[in-house]
Amino acid sequence: MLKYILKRLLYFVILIFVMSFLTFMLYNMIPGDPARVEVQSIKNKVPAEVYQQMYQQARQRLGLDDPLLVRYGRWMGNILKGDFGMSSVYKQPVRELIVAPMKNTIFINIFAILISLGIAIPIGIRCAVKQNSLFDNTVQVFTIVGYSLPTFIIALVCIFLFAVKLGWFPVSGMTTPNFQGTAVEAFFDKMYHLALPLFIMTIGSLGGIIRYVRAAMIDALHMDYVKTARAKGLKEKVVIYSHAWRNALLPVITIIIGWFLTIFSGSLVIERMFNLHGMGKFYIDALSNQDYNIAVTVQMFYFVIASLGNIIIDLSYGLVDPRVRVNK
Amino acid sequence: MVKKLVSVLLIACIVTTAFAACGKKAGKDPSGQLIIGSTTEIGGDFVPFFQNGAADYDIYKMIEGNETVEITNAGEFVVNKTAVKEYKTEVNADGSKTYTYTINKGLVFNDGSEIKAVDYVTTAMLWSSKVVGDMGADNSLVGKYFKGWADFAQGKSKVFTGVRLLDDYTFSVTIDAQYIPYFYELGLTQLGPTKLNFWLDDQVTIKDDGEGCYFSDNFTKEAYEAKINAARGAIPRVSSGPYNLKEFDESTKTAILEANPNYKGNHDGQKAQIKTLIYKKVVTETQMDELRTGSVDLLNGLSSGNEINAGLDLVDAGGFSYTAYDRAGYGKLQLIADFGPTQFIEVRHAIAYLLDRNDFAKAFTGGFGSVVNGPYGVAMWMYKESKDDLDEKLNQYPYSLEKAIEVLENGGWIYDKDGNPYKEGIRYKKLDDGTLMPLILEWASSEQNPVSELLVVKLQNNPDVAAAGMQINQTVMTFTELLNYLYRDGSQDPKYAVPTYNMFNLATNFPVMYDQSSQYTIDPVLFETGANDNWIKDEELAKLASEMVLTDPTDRNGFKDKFVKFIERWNYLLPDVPLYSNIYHDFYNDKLKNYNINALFDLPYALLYAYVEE
Repeated sequence: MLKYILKRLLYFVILIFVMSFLTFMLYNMIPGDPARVEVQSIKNKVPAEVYQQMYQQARQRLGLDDPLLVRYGRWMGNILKGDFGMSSVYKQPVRELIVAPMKNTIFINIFAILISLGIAIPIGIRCAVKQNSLFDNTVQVFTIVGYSLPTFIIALVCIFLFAVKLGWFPVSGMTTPNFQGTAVEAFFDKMYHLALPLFIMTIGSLGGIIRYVRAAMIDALHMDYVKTARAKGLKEKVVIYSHAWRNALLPVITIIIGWFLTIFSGSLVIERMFNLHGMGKFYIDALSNQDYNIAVTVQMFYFVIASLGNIIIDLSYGLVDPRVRVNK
Repeated sequence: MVKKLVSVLLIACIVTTAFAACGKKAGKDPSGQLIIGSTTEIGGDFVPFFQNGAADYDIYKMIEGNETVEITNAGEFVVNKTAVKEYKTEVNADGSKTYTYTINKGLVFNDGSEIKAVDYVTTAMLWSSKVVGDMGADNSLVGKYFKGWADFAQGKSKVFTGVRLLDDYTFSVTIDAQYIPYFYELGLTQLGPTKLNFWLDDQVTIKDDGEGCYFSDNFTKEAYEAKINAARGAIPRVSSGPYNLKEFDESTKTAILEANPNYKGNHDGQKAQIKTLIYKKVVTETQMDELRTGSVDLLNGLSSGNEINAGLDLVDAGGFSYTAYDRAGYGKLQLIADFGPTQFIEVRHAIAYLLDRNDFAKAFTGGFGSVVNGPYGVAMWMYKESKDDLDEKLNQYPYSLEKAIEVLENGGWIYDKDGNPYKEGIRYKKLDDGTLMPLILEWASSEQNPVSELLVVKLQNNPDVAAAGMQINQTVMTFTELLNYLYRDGSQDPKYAVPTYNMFNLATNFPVMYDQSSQYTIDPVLFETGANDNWIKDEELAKLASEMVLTDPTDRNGFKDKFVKFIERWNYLLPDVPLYSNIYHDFYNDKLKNYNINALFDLPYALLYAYVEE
């Protein structure tokens, strides 16, 4: 097992280097000139020669005149030292800029995942147990609707209904501006602001996980060991939760682990609609502003998380299912 | 007699009430709170030297004050008598001009420390220094017009010769001879105070031995980069404007400002009347809902027809008001005048005749826009004062296929592809070398641009364009690639250096300092850099643009006359086809009073005169 883990980690390191090279090259092949973008706004405000001088300074500062390989080497060297460079838009270190959106995204996603799992797993199990009942059919219809409707439509409808018409929740934001209160009150103020986005994120994610749990549970309920358990006269609750659910959990758990790894991923639509400063918007803004250092850093971060996530998921298969362990 | 007496008493009552109200307002302590919704993100860097975010800049203007020169609501520069005790000017032997300012005693920063001349000098010195330039800051913003700036900013000279510290309350700045005379020269001397030990520390000093100011030798990038970067986001921060920055929440992008009790007032003696200002990020899709539900109190600078109509509905429902004002700028179709068909004035005229600009402006702005016929904004004082004259002199290029065909034929576009007299299809012109040039225009437009989409409908696919014998080919690209083509920047790729596109759809805004001399320069060196990005070489236009700003600052009428001549020439040459000039709308809660904004006297200035009535 240890050998397998070390091998996977070695592949991981090689993969990271290859991907960092490809990503860096791809970003630098995008037509455009970040130095031009940086100084464009002052073009009509300063004399032409000053503008030209500042443009050249910006090119020099951003290292745009060096060969691409030299720039990659410098960039990778800095990355390994934990220096992700300066944002060309904010003129601040990327490492500092990324903290606030990352914190927000993790905070929101942890609640969204816990709420979704807390609702989806019991409903999925009940749907499987009561397969084709009125309850099951109703849930199926709603999950399909929730799954199919674009998030921004759900968001707009919810904002109109719950924030504008009923006034139950704020339209956007994470806190009340100029809020004065204790830490506990500030936490509840934050949760009050996040209630509507969390509700929408939950609706959007319930469909998939309910259907997945339901399918896994239906498969498990049709297994011979469940029939044997029932034939033994065990209580239905014991049959469902001790025999069927434990086995249904095997495929579900990998999905859940994968899902937890998405706590770092921002939701662009939700962040935009509710004006939340999270990773999705942060990344898209960096792309549209051609703020390469931010965009590449975020991209590489997601790549590392995804690669590590795959290793963890593969290992978790072995942990929950002894049949697929590498060594016994 | 009784009627007269009643009338007099009534008028007396109204006048007394009005004065009482004014006096009460002026003398009152600041009160209330106003939440400003901004669709532009607040970056949290409240100095404009490292980035150019509009929201951050608004906040910068609210927290900084006591400048030597300020802007009036008519968009003109005036000496700020609240900060300046007296000033004098002197033209030097080398043609440069020195402005010597003596500031009033008793001005204080928000931390209570007294403002002295060295604090004004600090602004010019710190923000022009090579140290901040090497940190990525734009070190040309403050001192670029002062004598010796280039050498000081590039580290070639330790001394900034154009900045002098004369005594505790007196300093001078010298405008370099190359910028004199300059109509806006007063604006060039606009300086506010900066607390040196807030940005650096007490170890760094500024001295003047008679040749100009200089920093002590310990001021280096290595020693002070971290300190300066920390100060950029530091709260509390030492400033001297009408508001203090109380808080900035990075995670919610919200800034809170509170009235500065130490502020003595602007050039009118006006102090902040609203106690707390909150600057909050909003999104376009829900900003009107935020206003409706009270999450924000003011939305600034709305320009889309849908947004404005939604706002007007809100105003009709009651509880809200709005202020509409013209943009100092316009959206345009920029034509390239040194190659291809658009090098010929007749083709540029024909394009204008083939686009119904009134219809375009109405469609794009939803009816909240106008059409201009030259490079001006209708909010500018010189336009306002010469409007009748310009209306009479300028060609409005009304939509007309016949007129377009006529000008093309007059311009020699009378052949078909075989050199025979034109009958149908694309027109050709016989060049001096005998070759035929087709009337095909290559148009570069940026992606996801609603103006481009409307231009496709109203111009490119307009059947009259084909009927006139013209063809327009659109190429969509990123904005940065578009700029490379526009400036012919071969450093990125040799293909950009080759003139490829005849027209670009862009937009422009005019600042208070209306200076078009670089834009239409024919100086060979500047021309090559792409400063004149219409690539138009017209001696008269270049001369008129230069002469306008080289007017003596006291010769207001002279400037206005030159402005009219410049606009007239421009209107004839037509390097751009102006498409639309927006009418901006600000919507706000009825509690906001006396809010009089315009394109040049924008949000930070207008809010200083406004107050809230809870």
